[in-house]
Amino acid sequence: MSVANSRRQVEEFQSTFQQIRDEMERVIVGHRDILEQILITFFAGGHVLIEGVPGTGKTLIVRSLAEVLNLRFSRIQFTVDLMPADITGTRMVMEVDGRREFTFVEGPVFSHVLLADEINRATPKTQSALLEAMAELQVTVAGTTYRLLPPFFVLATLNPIEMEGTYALPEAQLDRFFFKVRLAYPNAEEMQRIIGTTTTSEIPTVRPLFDSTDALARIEGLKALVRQVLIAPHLEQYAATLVRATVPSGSRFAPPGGSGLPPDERIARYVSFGSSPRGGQALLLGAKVRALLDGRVNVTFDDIDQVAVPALNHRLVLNFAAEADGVDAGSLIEGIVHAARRLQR
Amino acid sequence: MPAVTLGFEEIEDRLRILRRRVNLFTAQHVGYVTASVLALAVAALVLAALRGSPLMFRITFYAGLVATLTVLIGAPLVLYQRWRDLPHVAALADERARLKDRLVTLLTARERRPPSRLAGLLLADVLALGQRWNPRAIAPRRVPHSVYAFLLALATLGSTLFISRPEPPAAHDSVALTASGSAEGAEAARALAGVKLVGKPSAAPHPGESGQNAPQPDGSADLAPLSTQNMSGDVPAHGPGAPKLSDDGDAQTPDNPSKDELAQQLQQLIRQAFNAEAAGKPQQLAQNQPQRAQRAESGEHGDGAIKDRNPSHDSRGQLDRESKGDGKTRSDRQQAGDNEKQNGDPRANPAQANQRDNEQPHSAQTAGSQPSSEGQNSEQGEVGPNGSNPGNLLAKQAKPGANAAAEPKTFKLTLTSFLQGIPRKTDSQPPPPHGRVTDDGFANAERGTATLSEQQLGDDLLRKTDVPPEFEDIVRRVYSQRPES
Repeated sequence: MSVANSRRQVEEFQSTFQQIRDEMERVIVGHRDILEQILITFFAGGHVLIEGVPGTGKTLIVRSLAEVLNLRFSRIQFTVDLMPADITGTRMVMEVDGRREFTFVEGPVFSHVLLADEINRATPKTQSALLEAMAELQVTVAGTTYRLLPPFFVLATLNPIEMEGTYALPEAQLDRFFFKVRLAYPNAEEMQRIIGTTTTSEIPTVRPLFDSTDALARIEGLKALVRQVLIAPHLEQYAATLVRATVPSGSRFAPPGGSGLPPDERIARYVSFGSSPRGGQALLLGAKVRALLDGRVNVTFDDIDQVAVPALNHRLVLNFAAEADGVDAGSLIEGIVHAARRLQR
Repeated sequence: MPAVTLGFEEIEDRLRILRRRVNLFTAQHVGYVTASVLALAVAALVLAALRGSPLMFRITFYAGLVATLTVLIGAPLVLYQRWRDLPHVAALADERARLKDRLVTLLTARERRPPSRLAGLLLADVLALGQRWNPRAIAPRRVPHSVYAFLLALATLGSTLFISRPEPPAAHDSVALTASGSAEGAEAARALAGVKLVGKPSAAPHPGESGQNAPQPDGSADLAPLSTQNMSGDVPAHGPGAPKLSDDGDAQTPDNPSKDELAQQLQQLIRQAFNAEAAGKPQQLAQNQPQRAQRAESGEHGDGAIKDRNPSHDSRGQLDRESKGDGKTRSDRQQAGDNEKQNGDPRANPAQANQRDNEQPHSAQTAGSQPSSEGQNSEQGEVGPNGSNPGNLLAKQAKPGANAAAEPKTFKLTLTSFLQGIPRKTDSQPPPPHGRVTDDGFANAERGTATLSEQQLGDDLLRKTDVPPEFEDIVRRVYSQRPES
């Protein structure tokens, strides 16, 4: 690949990302950083967990993204009585050529963009039905494994209130999500724009950016470009240090040799379990996407720092002391990042 | 990919240039800091030697020693830690040129497996930003700021050359060599030494016991320059209970040197070096120094020998003036010898000298024979430039600070002859105070118990004595005024 071709691909990535974001902003008012993090997750090949109160546009964001990308979109409304087969699909007796036989009927998971709305309302057994699909892009039904067509992008929404009759996501399920973003209330200006644009006769809609014929190829090409971004060893070490620093030093699973950072008293006090290596993978891949968005083909410290909180906050298991003191994982991670940057400088 | 390879080589060449500059700068910085510390240590040492007390000098000496060892050990370690290899230099260039870790990433991209297809693009970006990370721009040749500290340290060290010489104690200012009696001579010698008696005085050794310093009835004299190696100011004692003279109260004997002896010797060396340098005669001092030290330590001198620990530059200045007043130097020795022959130069004619000694019974001078008050020394007469005042004081009391610019010079004058025939003023003199040098040797000589051999009687010690040139005239004058035996 020549330099000119590489440069053209990088520029195409930038422009595509920008176009998708601009198109989504036609219907999504505000939440620019949230949109950016969702797109980063998409091009990094991960899945995103969106947490927000009802009515803030979670479902609208996911549906708009699917429309822009012109990809196959499915939506699952998670409820208590939802079964795993309702997600993955099941074998049904079908009549084929006058004979009855079991035929696999694909569930909604067989799509490119999957909206798992209010995922915490399903039982853990149903929630776990997504584990294999999210991690390995495959589902196994009745001993038969079925591959999912890439890209496979799960956007799950989580309602932090109305905890009655909900099931908190297990840590294994949470760890599968690349980013966890929090959708806050819009500010006054955004609120005014939202209520103004959605109450007129012309409801804004999004236009697909890709043709259905080459959408998959283009998207996969851009996702492959992300993994070609270069990163120096000391930056990999920096990301590993951040991940190791989330593990409480006094815990049973503390990394040998420490994290390389001074022991953080807050981590030891409020964190029960730290991030897994998947957190480090999310850090580097997210940083690579940010580097491409900046027109670079190499990762910097700032790229890693900017994705640290969404990549690690849902991987920290906080204890009751943190809940009692009102400490969230984001503030703990920011403290780790600051300490690590001071050490680097 | 040849183009990529060429690009890598070009970048590595530039990084090597940058590394040379950065490491040179680091080496300069470490060198300047090290030199600054060393210069400051030397300056402090010289300052403490010239102006400080022995205790202060010892503290400064050990502090300077620790500082010197610290920087000598720490400098290589710091240099090793700050020595940058190519990736570190690349990181430095990234930081200074705001390349956003492009150079570091590029250097490690070649070793990456599988190789990234974006490495060529990264290389092109780095080459395109080449002006931004030009070694001349991000690491210009300049001297580190530590050079100012080094210059300041050098200035401090240089300023020690202009430090005024230490003001000597009042007792050091007198050089009294009387020819009018043993009591005055003893007091003058004690004043010359400028020391106090420490410890219990011992019985004086028998005449002739300590070699050529013993009182000799033939009037032979021994004049030896004072050693700079043992400047403790004590009277060399060679027996148990020997008196020790010290100006700082340290009871030290040559046989049992203290652990601070090195510091003391160094302090005296520094003082003498500075003084000699100012006098323009450093080489001469350096040549005489080992002999003096050897003689002082070997204990050649008897009880009458007195070592001056803090030689007075005023005293020396006085002696210099007297020497210069005569207008005689070593080069003029021949001409001076003619004059001395007319006056009975003992070196020219020992027999005549002995005869002259016998004719002048009251011109003896001795050291350490009779204690007296120091105030008497200042009232002694002054020797004329041509030595025409033989019955008076041969060396005068020098006024404190009168010759502050002159350099202290140390020598020891031990006159142990002329004892026979010298009237002892035992009736008029008060008994020696406790701890002072007694005149037992003189008494023994007077009683006739100090007998010398024929060889000793005929020996002219003055000719064998290593006399500094500036003191030759004084010594010659003193010797010529000895009483007739």
